[in-house]
Amino acid sequence: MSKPTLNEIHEDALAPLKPARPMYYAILAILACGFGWGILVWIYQTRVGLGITGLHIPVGWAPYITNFVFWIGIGHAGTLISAILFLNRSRWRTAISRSAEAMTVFAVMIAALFPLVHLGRLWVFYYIIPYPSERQLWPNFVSPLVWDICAVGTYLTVSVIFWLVGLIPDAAASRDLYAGQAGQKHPRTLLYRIMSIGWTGSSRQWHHYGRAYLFFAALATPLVISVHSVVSWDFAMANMPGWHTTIFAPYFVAGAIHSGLAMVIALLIPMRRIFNLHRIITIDHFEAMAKTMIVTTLIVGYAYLLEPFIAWYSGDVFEKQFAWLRATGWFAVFYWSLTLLNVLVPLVFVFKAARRNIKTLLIVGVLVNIGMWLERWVIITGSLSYDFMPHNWTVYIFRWPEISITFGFFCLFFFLFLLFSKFLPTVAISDVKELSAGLLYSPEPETFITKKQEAKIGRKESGLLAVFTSPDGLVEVIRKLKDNGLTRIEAFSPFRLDEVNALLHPRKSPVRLWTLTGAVSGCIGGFWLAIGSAHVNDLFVGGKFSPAAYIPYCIVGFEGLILFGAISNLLGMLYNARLGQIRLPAAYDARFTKDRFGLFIACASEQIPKAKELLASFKPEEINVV
Amino acid sequence: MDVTRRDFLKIGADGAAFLAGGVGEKTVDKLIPYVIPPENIRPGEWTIYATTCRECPAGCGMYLRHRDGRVVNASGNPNHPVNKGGLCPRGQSAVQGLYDPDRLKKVLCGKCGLEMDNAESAIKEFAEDLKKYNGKIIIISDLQTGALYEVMESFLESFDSKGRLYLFEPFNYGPLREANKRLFGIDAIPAYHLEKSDFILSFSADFLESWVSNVQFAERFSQMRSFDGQNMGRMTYIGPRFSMTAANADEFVRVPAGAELSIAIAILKVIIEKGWARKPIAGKYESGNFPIPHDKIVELAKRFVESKSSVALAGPVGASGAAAENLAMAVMLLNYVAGRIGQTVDFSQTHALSNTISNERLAQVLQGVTKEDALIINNVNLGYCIKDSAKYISAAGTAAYLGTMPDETSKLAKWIFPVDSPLESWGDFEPWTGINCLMQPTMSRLYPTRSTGDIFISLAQATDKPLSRKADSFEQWLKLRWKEIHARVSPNVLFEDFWQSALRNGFALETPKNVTVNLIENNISIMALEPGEFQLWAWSSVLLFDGRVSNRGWLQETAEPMNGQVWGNIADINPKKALALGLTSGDEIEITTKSGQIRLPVRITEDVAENVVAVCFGQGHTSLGRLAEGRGANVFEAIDATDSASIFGSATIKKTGQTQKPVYLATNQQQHHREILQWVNLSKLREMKPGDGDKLQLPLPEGYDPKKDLYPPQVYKNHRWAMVIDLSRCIGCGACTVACYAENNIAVIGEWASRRWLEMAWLRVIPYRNQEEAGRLGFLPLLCQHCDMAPCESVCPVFASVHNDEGLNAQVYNRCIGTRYCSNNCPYKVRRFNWLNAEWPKPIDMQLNPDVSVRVRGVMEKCTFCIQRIRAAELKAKREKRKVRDGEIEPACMQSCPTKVFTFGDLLDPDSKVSQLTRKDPRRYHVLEEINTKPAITYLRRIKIDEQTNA
Repeated sequence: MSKPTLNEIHEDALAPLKPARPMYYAILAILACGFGWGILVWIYQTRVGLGITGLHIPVGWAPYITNFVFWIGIGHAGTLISAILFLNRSRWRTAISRSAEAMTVFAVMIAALFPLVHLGRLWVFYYIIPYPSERQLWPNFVSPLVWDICAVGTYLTVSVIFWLVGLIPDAAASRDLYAGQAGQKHPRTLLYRIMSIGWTGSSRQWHHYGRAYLFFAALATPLVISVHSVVSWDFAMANMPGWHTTIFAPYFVAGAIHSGLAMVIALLIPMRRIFNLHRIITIDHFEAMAKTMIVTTLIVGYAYLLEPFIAWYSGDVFEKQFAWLRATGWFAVFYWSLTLLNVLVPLVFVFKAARRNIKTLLIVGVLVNIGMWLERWVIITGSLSYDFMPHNWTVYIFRWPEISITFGFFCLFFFLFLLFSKFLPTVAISDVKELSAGLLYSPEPETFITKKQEAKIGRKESGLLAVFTSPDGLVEVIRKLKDNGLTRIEAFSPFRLDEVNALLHPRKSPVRLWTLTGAVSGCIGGFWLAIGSAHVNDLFVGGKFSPAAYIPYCIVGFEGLILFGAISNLLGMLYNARLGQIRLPAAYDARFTKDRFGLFIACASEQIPKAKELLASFKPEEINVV
Repeated sequence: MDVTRRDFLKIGADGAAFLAGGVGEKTVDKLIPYVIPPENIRPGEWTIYATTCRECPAGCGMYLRHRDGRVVNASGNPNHPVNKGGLCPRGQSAVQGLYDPDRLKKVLCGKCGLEMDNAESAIKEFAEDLKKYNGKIIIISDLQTGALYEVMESFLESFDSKGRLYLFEPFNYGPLREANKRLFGIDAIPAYHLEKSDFILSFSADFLESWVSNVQFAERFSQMRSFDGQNMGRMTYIGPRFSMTAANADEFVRVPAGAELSIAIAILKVIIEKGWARKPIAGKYESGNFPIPHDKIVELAKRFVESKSSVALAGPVGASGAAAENLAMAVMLLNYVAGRIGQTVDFSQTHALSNTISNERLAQVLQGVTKEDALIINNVNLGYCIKDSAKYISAAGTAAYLGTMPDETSKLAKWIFPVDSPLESWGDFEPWTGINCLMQPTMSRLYPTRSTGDIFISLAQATDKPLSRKADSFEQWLKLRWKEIHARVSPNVLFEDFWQSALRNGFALETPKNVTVNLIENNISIMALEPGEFQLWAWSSVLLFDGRVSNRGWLQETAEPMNGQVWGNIADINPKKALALGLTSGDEIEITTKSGQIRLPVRITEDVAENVVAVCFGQGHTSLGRLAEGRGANVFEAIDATDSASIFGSATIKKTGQTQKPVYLATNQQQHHREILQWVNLSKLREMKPGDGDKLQLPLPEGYDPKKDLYPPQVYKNHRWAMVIDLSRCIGCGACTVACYAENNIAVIGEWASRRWLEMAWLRVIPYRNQEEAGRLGFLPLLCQHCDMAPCESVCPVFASVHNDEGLNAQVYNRCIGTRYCSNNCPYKVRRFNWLNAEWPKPIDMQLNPDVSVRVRGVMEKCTFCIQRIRAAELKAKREKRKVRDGEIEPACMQSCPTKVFTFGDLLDPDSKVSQLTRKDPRRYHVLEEINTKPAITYLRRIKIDEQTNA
């Protein structure tokens, strides 16, 4: 396949935004009905009580917490692709990162609902949220469930910010597309206008945006690892045989990425086919994901082997018996099938043919997801059903309410994803364009111009606008213009041009200071909240005087660091890049988000001929006076 | 439509009320249910009334705790000579009987099929009817002594029907009395002084469950079993079924049904032949074949004779007919030859049950009923426990039923007179000779009912028939009778003082006369006949007795001690028999005897002999109330007493092809080497001194080890409440479980939810088997352990589970959001979650304890060590400017326990009983000590006698 041009990328990536066929709305309606049924059952369950589900003592947690862990796990692949692979400079991430991130956001949203679904008294759920209230009682920061609230809350906030920030340039592209096709007043134009918060693709915006994006990735990376660790501690911190193990944090993180990648594969294959994204999402992308899955398969497999080994090695009668019961008890069939689905099935990816076969990829993706759901279910339900006291040993039976709600929320996920794929650009267009221009991850140019020379150009200033078809040679144009005293220059581009940015905005972006301040104060704030509220409560729990139990408060401090680092990073970017202006500068042209590059020289009318003359030798497509 | 301002406001208010009431939380309507309250009601304070339990013929003394005009719970009267403070589950359920929503509320005239609101006119009408039957009136009543007996007798006399009063109890011990009559000429059940004996030999006599006077025997048994530092009493149980009583024996000898008699005769023969007999007897005794080695027989015989005092008991409960008579005779002879009559078997005190008629006599009476007769049935459910009773009752010219529940018999009667619950009426009862127990109304009537005595008196008045005492009411009659008792017992005090003290104490004692017991028939022959190949074995559980209490949620929802079943009954069969028939657990079988057929699901268990199918009494009601009806099968229908070789009759079983799913709360009795319930050998224990034994991690600062515990301990200033549970004393009866239900407003959730294991009991008694020995089982009362390092607390996100400053692991319901993490992390799994909203159908909501909140769906709850009682005692101590005394606080479980399993107190007080036991008793241990939870409940190991002979 030949390398697609900028225009082709643009057209392909934005093609799904065209009005949908009736089939799309029909599927959307069916999914909405499924979700609606789930909500009705949830309301019924809240009215009547959880007794209508299969839950009982000792199996206090089963499908809802399984779903929670499952969906949080699904979310991990998105952050892995968009943050960790960004930091690793993996080129293949660009085509799939947007969908993966969207998947993350929706999955975490759904995951965050399940703890609510499983609550006995939904109507007082807010007791768990730390805020000053008339109850004068703060939540117990020693409890892993409060860590969950902090971790999942932070994760959801940061994922949403990360996703929306990533969408800004592409939303601008969509805005310009819709403004051209449907007019300025069209609701979708309006939507994209809001989402792109005044994005023009100016080098100033690209300059701060690039920095901020890097910091988001840097904050999201430890976050994604911590979130599933914290989730795993819901179990590892408890004393149940089958839960109380130190291996859980890495095991859960690996498992999360495992299932997340499987879900990305399973989602992208149909999406790529339906929206005809073959030119952007290629088989190479799938192969790269399959390769990553081999790593997670091996980690997960190692954990599976280690669990019974440690049970035997510990000599602990409860652990030993539990390991045996897991393999032979009432849920043994699920235990063995999850081992098969999660370890043996994805091992087919060691063969290149399997990695490059769409059908195999799809089947493995679906099977691993089933396997990973079962894994969480076996860990949670199985361990509980064989607790310390043998007289309690019971079987958990699925009843219709939990099946309905689980099904309903699966419908919600696909509903949201379908909505996303038709309303928002599903591919990180600017990144793909940058990649096709061969500029992605090019080494950062040295900065050599002093602070004074940075140009500040007002929104209504007039001057000369040159439009180019290619970014090549822009650096020379700018140098030449500058040498001739025309220093008040701004460039516009559909993707980031590092050298241009360095030339026009040589000062290091101050966003880093914003982020640092936010992170440090968030960390201190987290500790302050946890320790301070423990002093307000002044209670003994589990043999611990809560103000003295400082170790668990590190988690709160950490989550504060990430959350406030990310928020302040966002604010820093918005401020420094002067985003948030709905009216665009006069010099802006809609083609700059598509495939054209602009150079605006702010100058008085007497300087215009000189500028025109200088530009002429670089053969711009057109030159306009604005 | 015209809407006035008033209408508008009304509609608005209704709407608002509807919205506000939508959550469905529980409220009791009236604070004090009187317009003008009686003087002795003080709002917010407990009043205690002493009365007598009439849930079975045992006649235990009862304290009823009364608050704001309502009875809330029942516990044992600690001074009562029968039960000494304990009370069985049935006795505690008396309050549920009082508030039973299904109770009879109106006079029903079955003939006309109408309810009659006016009891007065109904009585007049019935009296007119009765006149026609002058001289032909029959009264069949449950066991009554004293005033009511007098009234009924006098009533019959006035209608020229003298001698036609028959007292009947389904469990009447006819065979035992018949044996005594033949041997000694005394038609009576003697008193058994178990506490004085050091060896009990029980032949299927389940005296801890329902045999004669179970609470009394449990108390005496625990005295006899208590370890004095050197020794303790022993017990051997011989029978075809591993009953709760058998589980408490040192030795359970499982024999095929019918072999008990052979073994009893064999032991008797050994004693005679070896010349060990203290009292010589002659006679012909044929033991036939028996399945245990002869050496064992000799050993049992030797121990029985050589013990300082021993006693042999004959069962089973509910038996009648020749086979049971033979067993009773052989066993009584054992007592005789060993010289136990007058020592442990005391005929100077006999049980009131001795006045009842046997099944055979009742059959004669019923068969003799004709159109000429009027039948009055008082509170005995013939329709349920006597086969074909419908035929006989309908043969009568008219039949009236006096009772509290719409049971099977009430459906057969033409007249139904609802009577007071025993807790609403005056009365007296003399369970054993000389023990006069008084009953008093403990609250005002719930419904326009009358006392049984008053109905008879009114009937007599309506027909102008004079009765033997001049009394306008039953209360008067009772007083007149007690004046006579006063004259006998303490003529020196004023009657009013005597009466007041009898009301306060609940009883007045007379010294029984000594009797000399002589063997009148020395030349007896007892032959052990070969029973049929396969037999029915009926047994009575401590919970349901003969089925009269089956409509009570507490009893239906408390797990049967041995099989853990709730809300139904099952047929137990041996695995060998099951294999032969191709049965698996849950298969429905049809049990056919000469008298009838019943269908039940099977449980396959080694606990029963190969030749029996064992079925529990008490289920299979077709009427009685919503909770009892249509559950399991009624074994009374299948008992065949005509078979002289078999106690309950030969049976055949066949698979019906259907399956049923019985509900079990405890799913597993094996410990899987987890050593949750532990035993200690007697030989080892004897060598241990106080202070020896396990080093426990106490729930006190001293229990913390910086090497293991990361954080500093909590230091208690005033109290650290703790409990000691003596497993050696626990017989498994479940009285504590029911007491906990009553005290703490624990919801009964019903069969549907029990099947899903949603039960709410805070305290359960768990049967666990000994890992090494198949026939050894112990009972573990399991409640919140109030750990010092409670795993439930640290995981709660909202501090609903916290430690208080007296060491209690408190649950704050208002704060709980229902994550259930605490329960997941509780290794003892003693927390209970409100999966659904509890239902308290009126008027059972009146039983709710006002000191304890009623929980809504979605919150976790658990044992609080009865914090309301702790707080009340602390307040009282504060008012009296003193410290809380050791033993002053009794949680409900402890208060109800017939065998004194529980000890509660303050660990900070070094002299308290609980401190002494926790620190020094050599049997002490913590369940799951290795998890380092530092529980506040210390268990004392069950003692296992590992020597063959007495020391």
